[in-house]
Parts: sequence; structure tokens; C-alpha cells
Amino acid sequence: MNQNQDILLEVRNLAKHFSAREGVFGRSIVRAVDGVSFCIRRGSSLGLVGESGSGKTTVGRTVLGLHRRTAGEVLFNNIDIHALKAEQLRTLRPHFQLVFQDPMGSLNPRVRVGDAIGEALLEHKRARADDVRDKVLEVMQICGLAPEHYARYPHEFSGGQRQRIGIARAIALKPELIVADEPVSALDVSIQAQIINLFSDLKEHQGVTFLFISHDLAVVEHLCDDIAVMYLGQIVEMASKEQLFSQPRHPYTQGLLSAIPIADPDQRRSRIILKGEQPNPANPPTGCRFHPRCSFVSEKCVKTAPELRTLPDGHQVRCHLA
Amino acid sequence: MRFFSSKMRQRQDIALAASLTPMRQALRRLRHNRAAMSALIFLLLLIAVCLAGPWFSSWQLDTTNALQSRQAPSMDHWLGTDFLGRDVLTRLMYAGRISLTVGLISVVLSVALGFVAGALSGYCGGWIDSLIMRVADLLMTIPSLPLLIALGALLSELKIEPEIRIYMVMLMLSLIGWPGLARMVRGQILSLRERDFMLATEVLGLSLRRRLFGHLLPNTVPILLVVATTGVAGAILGEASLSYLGLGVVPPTPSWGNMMDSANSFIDFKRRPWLWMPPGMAIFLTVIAINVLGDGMRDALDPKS
Repeated sequence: MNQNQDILLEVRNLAKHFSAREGVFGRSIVRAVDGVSFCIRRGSSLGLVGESGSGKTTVGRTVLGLHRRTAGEVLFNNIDIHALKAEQLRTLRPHFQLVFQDPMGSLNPRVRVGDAIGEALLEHKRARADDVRDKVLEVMQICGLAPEHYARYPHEFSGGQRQRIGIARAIALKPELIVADEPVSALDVSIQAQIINLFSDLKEHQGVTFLFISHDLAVVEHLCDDIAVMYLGQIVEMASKEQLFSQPRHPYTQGLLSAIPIADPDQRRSRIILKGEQPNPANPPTGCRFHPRCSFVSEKCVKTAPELRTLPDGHQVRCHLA
Repeated sequence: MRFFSSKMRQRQDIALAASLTPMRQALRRLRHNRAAMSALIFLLLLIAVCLAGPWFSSWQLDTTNALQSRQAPSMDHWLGTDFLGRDVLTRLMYAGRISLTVGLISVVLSVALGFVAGALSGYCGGWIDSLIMRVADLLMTIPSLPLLIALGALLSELKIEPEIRIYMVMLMLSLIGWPGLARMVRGQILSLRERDFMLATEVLGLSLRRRLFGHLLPNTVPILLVVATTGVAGAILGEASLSYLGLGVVPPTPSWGNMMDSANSFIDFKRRPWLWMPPGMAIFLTVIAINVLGDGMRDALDPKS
């Protein structure tokens, strides 16, 4: 995370709390995202990893203004999108798009594929009624869809093709930023590779910037320049891909990395098993949020919460021991 | 294009053959449902007979003949005659026109009302939602038959012309029908709103108009169709009950309900079944056919549930 002047997205101390009903009268506050900061340089990609419930999807959606923030700022091209009026935000929307986890659910079953991709082009005057078809076909070709798919309905496609449709719909607007929320986790492995190749093509040839959300470090490894690891609503470690994979500093990251299978039966490595489950974000543990599951836990970890520190090599980590 | 293996291309070519809209698919499934198709054919026949039958009848709707009253079915009068000597079959067909029309139009009214109320309620939320839903709850807590009877009695008290009265009956029935529809549409909209494709319309920055009329509301149509269909059966029953009690469609206008009031006389009930059996059977078969068709449509439109 070196200081680069060309920063497309800067997130500062972003927090998103949900209020949840508990029992009959009780209310509790779920701190889904609690003080997350990161920057993404134009043309680069940041991978956001963490287990389910760590708040990574909420980060993605709050960054896009789909959830109202509780606190913090989301600066897109130095514009705080949460400070905009609804109509201003709507006209800005083509610049940042979302690719969904569930390709079928993200497509309206009653809208033809071509119309689904072209609709936003017409809405934002990126195409006229007489050339929208050509523009849509062009995008469909980039995403590996055939022209005859134009008039089909979503139910006629396979999962991988549906995800191509979702991606085509997003990139038709030529966005600068794409938030991809677990875009391949609903697909089988062979299709995953195709979709990831499509993403890296888009990154290289169209210069799209990515916030790539995944629970799978192996998937993120292919696509991302930097990786941020989330745990219970906070970033616990953030570094360049090379640094994070070669020298993970946080015990949680070490545990995640040791869980990636290696396709070589002779090569053994020590597994770090993460004990227990992620605690309830409505009631996070005292001190370091990871301490109940950490094998290196000390008294300090139970009492005081570590700050996210930047080490001399630019590696950021939230741990007393690192 | 380089992402495609040859195998995948083959599969696309096969899929080229048929591109079906979700509606067409549903229709195709419906066509394979024998019970529903029989019901549909029966209903179409019934409508055809009610519309065209009177032209072929040698009897007029209101020709009375005191000498030929209460005659048993014969070659002249296939279903006999009533106490004024009017041909029962001819009246049955005219009554069918009235009963089916009242059923259909009152449902169209309650769908219009229920759809708008439910859509507003589901989309706007807040106090609008609370207000509409409380009104709907209120109407649903009042037992519908007593309410209808009270309104029917009011119409009789005001001495409304029989022709106008028919329209008032339609209004009354739609008043009873809309709350259920509104609730259903509201529920549907609340669940659709949370779906990813609605979130996608927001991410794409589509205008409110496109989001509502292009994405949200069209997805409520299938379930609305099903509920409206079964609603017709309910409205026909409601009209029949009211008219039977003399509070709905009143003579001389015939309806299946008011034709059945001859069953009120013990002797007619026991000795002259041709007076009340035909309208009774007509109501029974029509309601069953509509319900079977409605069930078939539900299965066809939503194969998952």
C-alpha cells in the first residue's frame, strides 16, 4: 500500500452497524463493519477475504452506497458518495458496478438477456434505441456470450453463462470500479477458472479496478495485487499479495493460508487449525477480537484491542505480537 | 469467444431451437395438466352456451304462461318451467350471463383495487403501509356474509332499480375481495424487493419508473393471475348466496342464486327438483372448474412450490 497519487477508491474508517431485534423487547447492535480503511489504486485490485459473517459483503455493499454508512467515508475519485443526494448518486452509478454471488438471483427471470444488459445503457444515455443492440452484442462478445443469446431468458443458461451475463451487464457501462462479491463461489471449479480469466482480461485490457470479495484465498491470489483479511468487521491484515502469502503476520491469516490445499502429496506443512467459530458480531470479545481462537494468546490480547499498525515494509497488521 | 470449448458451443446450438418466455413455458405446463384443461374447456363451453344458447331457444326470458307453470322437464321445456311458466333452461342461460359477469367484473375491480393498495403498501412502507393494512385487516375481521347482507338490505331499503343493483352487487363483492389481494401483492413485493435482481436495478442506477414497472410489478403478475382466478369462484359464490337470500340480483333479472330460492318452498324442494337442481349444479360445477383451473395455473406458474 504505497502512497500512490492515483487512488480511485479510498475508504476511511467505514462502519456499518445493523440494529437487530433480540427477544421481545431487546435490541442489539450488530457491528457488521467496524472501522475499515483501505485504498485502491486505479487499475489495481484489492482482494477482501474472510469467513462468512466477517462483514466483507457489507463492506462491498456499503462502498457502493447500497447500505447507508453508520460512520466513515467512501471517497470515489475524491467524492464522498454517501454525502450525495439520491439522484446524484444514481447518475454516478455507472462508474461503479457490482457482480453478484448468485448469478441466477441477480437476473430478473422475466427480462431477456439483451434487454437486461442494454437497459442501463439506455437509462444513462450511453446508447440510443437504434444502436443499443450493437453495443450490447459487443459487450456480450467480450464476455464470451454468443449473439444468439441476446433474446434468451436467464433460465435457459448454465450457471457460468449466467455469471457472464451478470458481468456483461456490469461492464457495459464501462465502470471504473467493479465490486465482485464472491463472483465464483457458486460455480464449479472448471467454470471458476474461466470466469477468473475473464476478470483478469477485463483488468488488463479495459483497465478496470476491482474490489474482489471472496472467502477463498486461492481465488484471490490469481487476480489481486493487494489483499486485506477481515475478521469480525475489521481488517486484521493488509499487504501486497506477495508479502501476505510469503510472510503472513497475523495468526488468523496464517491459519487461513495453511488451509489452502497443496497439490503435492510429498510436500507437508504444519497446519494451523483455527479453533472454534467466529463469535457473534453483536457481542465481540474484549481486547483483540481474535483472542478466543488464537494459539498465541497472551494476557495483553484479552485486555487491550490492538490497533492496525503499519510495519516498516508497508505490511499492515492488527496484532500485538507481529 | 476463446473461452468456449467445442462442447459448450454445441449445447448453445441446441438451445437455439427454442427460446420460451416464462409465460409461454407456464402455458405449456398448463396444457399438460389434464384436470386444468378439462376445467378450462368446461368453462369455455359454459360461457359459449350462456352467450349463444338463448338464440337457439324457442322461449323468451320473460314469457310467462300461467297454464304451464311448474311443469316437469319435457321435449318442449328441457328443464321444465318455473312457477310463472317460464322456461327454466332459457332462464338458466340468461342467469349464467349475469352470474359469470358479476363474478368476473367484481374480481377485476377487486384486483385493480387490491393491486394498487398492495403495491403502495409494499413499496412505500411506513405509515402508508400501516394505514392500508389496518383498513384491510378491518374489512377482513368483519364476517363477509353479514356485511354483504347488511349492504344488500340497505340496497333494498333504498329501492334501487334492479339493473343498477347488479352494479352495486359487483361493487359490494369487490369491497370484500380486495383486502386479501392487497395483502398478497404486498407480501410479494416485500419479498421481491429483497431479491438480488432488484438490488441490481439499484446498482445500475435505473430510474424509479423502470425499477417499478420494468422489474418489480411484472413479477407479481403470475401470482395475481392465480389469485384472481380463484377469486372469480369466490365472487360467484358470494353473488349466489346474496341473490338466494333475495339481497343480491333480484327478479325479474335472473341469476343462478335467485333461481335457487324456489328451494325455499318445501314442496318444490321435495317434488320439483328441476326448479333448483339446475342452477345449483351450475354454481357447483362452475366453482369447482374455476378452482381446478386456478390450482393448475398455480402449479404451472410456480413449479418450485
